[in-house]
Amino acid sequence: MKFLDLRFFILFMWGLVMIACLSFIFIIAPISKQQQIHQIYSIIVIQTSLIQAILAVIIVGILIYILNKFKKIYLFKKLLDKEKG
Amino acid sequence: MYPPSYEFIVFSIIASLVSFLITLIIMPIFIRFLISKGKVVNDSHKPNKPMVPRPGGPVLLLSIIAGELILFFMTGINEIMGIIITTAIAFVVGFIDDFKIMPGWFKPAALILASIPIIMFHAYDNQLNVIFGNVFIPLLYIPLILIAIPLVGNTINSIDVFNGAATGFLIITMVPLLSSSLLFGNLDIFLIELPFFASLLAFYKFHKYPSKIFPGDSGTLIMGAMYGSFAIASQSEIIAIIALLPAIMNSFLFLSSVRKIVEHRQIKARPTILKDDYRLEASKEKDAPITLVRLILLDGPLSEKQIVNKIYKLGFFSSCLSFITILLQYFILNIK
Repeated sequence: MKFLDLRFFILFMWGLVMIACLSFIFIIAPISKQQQIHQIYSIIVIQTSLIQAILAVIIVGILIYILNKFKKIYLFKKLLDKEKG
Repeated sequence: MYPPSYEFIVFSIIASLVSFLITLIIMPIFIRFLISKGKVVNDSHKPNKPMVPRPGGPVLLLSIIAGELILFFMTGINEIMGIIITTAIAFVVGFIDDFKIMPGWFKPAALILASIPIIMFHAYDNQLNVIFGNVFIPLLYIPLILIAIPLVGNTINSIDVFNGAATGFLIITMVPLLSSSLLFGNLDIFLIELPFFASLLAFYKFHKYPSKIFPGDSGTLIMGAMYGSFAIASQSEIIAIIALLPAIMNSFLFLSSVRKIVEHRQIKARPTILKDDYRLEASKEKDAPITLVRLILLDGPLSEKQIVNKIYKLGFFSSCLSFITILLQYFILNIK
């Protein structure tokens, strides 16, 4: 599979999804364990949910930023390749 | 994991057959009805621009709801009703958009409404399945649902650019979703998914190249809302995201190049150009939005059928990645 193949772009996105899953397990899941200990619908649940939401937005935001950077490099190389061709 | 009752399996087969046959039998009648009422649009990528009836959404909705209602009355599973209402609201949103050009924000905003029945009927779990384990997010899951249904609905809608593209792509990507439901213990949801899959298979007969009917926004939003609902109900959100990666890539490329939520009909610069020999080539205009099809065409001009085949191949590739992920999850679960 070449870099300029569209499947490579999809493979890269898959890698990012896997990184997101791992980040959720190592960053957000430990907070959830605290949440499970406390009573549901208590103020602690709301607080931890808010922290989880902020962390999730940051993780997804970073991954979208990386994807955007990758897209720019990919498009640049693809257009360059087309001009050469 | 527990085996579903023998009756449930029989009901699911009957419901799937009903969904399949309704689409197969009523669609030709509905096509004639739409033609007689003048509800036709140009198929602009073909010689002489033939007129094709639109939308096929109403029959698609009828067939899916008939199948799902059989399952609901026979089993009484509440999630089915939540999914039915979600799909019906998505249909109404799409149906309005089929006949009236609405602003770009309309579909995503209105589809938030469609997500509410999923929450009300609690057709979700408080845990998000992230392949390597589960994350307990009872409150955070609700906004996730409100985002997921509009996102999937619009993503499927945005890939419906050529004959059969959306339906064929969704059939391919349904396979990993069905497998995930079957493997990870959501057997009830797997059986509920079958009538939708059967309906899609029957609809493909009419939507494939050369199309006899277009699904319209009502049809594609039904497909997207239903797919999203099943992904949530079967706890296969990540599997579904991976299977839909080509469509998500299309939406991402489009949004990042246009930089706002806008109805595609409102964009003046087209991403592709139709040549005299009815092949398409990538637009050279700087202002034209970047889409999946434009990227496909950067390698050279292609016919509509060739482009649709390329989209199917990408769907097949992403479905393979979904299967790799399913295997990964299966092994992790067994190790634990």
